[in-house]
Amino acid sequence: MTQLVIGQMLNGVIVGSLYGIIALGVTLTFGLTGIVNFALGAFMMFGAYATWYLYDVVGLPYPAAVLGAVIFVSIVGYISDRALFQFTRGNLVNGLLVSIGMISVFEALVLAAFTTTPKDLTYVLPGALHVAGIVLPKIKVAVCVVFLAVIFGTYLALTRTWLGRAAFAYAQNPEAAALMGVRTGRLQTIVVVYSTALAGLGGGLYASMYSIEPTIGSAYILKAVEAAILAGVGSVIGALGGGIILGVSENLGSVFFPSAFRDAYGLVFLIAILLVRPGGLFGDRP
Amino acid sequence: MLDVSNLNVSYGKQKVLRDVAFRLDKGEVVTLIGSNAAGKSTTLRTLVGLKKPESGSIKFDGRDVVASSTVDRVKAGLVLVPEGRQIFPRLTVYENLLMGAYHRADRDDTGDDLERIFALFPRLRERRDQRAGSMSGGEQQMLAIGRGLMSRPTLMLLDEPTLGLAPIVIEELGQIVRNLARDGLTILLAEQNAVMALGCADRAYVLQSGKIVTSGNAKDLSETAEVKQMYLGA
Ligand SMILES: Nc1ncnc2c1ncn2[C@@H]1O[C@H](COP(=O)(O)OP(=O)(O)OP(=O)(O)O)[C@@H](O)[C@H]1O
Ligand SMILES: [Mg+2]
Repeated sequence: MTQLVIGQMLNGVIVGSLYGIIALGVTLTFGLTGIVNFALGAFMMFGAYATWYLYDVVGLPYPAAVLGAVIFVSIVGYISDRALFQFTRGNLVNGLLVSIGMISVFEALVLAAFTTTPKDLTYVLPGALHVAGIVLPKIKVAVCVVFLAVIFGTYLALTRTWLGRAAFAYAQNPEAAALMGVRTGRLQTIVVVYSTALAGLGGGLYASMYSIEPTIGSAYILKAVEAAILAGVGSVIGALGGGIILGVSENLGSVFFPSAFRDAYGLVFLIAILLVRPGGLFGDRP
Repeated sequence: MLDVSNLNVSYGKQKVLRDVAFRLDKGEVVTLIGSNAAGKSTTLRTLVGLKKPESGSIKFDGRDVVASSTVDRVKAGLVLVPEGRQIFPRLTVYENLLMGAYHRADRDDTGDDLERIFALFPRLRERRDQRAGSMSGGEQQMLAIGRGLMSRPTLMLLDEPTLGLAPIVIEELGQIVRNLARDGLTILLAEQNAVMALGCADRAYVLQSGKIVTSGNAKDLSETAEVKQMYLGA
């Protein structure tokens, strides 16, 4: 029993870090543009397919395939910002409509190109680590480490670099940031594109663990938005924390309760936390 | 240094500034006094490019800047310390000050500037690593001015620094503005508090419903019956 619990906790951490990396994009995009970008789930799906394509069809090594996928998704993100998102900045409703519309378009494109047949590249990094009787697939450990490193790196960039500090300042007071000489439009574009790149990375790594279909993004974007709210919007470390809390509570919940309702356990947790701390768990931190 | 002429600004259909014109020479402290909604903030916001005018020209150091972006105006030395402080509440005092240097090419080398600002505002030094949002109104105003100084202004625009502050703090601010002027900074001060403003300034313009109605030497103006009655509560 303890092994099952610990195993599920670890699984929760891994899935949670994937929620976390998308939640980070959600929170950054929202903080800087006022848009809840629900299409980030679709960008993640794009990242997964691009990785599969570059790895399986083109034959690149897996890390190069992921890198290529991230670049591809960033370019799509840049085009989306120039063509669509830049016109919905600061307008929550229009941003929502545009991003939800994009989901259908992206899913339809992938469906047309690759059909509904699931794609698999689960043999990227075989083998498992055995730690104190617990079996941990190597790939999951590697993925988790990459996510943690990227999120921590983002945190450092946000607190230690000029661009990061400008982004954090802009989220607090856009006009004052403009008065400091921050090129605010460009900053917003950078953050929108970076968020799509994070989602693309999430998708690229997801592809190494699970099979992919055109609709995989939708569950993850909902979880990521939940995680961002749980954390307190605007917090980087919180996005990771929120994601992990969500992942763990789902996985642990399904040990003790029917696993058909696993999505509900995280939600119950979310509501419980918001009742106690309406601003989220980490509401006041970068 | 600054020459504004025929400035017209509107919000939608509402005309807020009508043919506003004034000028300011290097080393001067000039105040723009006016009551609520006279258009002081609108004037300053237009000067830094946060608001586009319908017509008129803004010559800064001989160049018309109406078409320039806010970033370019800041780089040229036109720096606004906005109404209501507008500091970054979740950044520390130190980080707020650093943001002031954001546009500078030498922004990684601000040690001397910081020293100078801490010397001007010893309380900011004491609170260097405190969240800016947790400071008192007066301290936040000093931080806003300090952050403005970090931008290396050649002309500093101060929008109602006395807003919501206690008389003793207002007195202190007046002293600070005079000190900055003594060190050679050119200042345009928008104020409702005419006593404070006229006490700091060399010259003054009176703005009423978007029009400049009077102007002159600050001392002379504070003697006129009109200004006394309307703005000095006499
Ligand atoms: N963003 C805005 N949208 C619409 N109208 C505005 C806006 N900002 C200012 N106004 C209007 O412009 C007029 C001048 O406002 P402004 O803020 O320039 O006055 P002010 O002299 O700075 O007043 P105060 O002393 O209260 O700060 C007011 O009638 C105000 O209602
Ligand atoms: Mg004002």
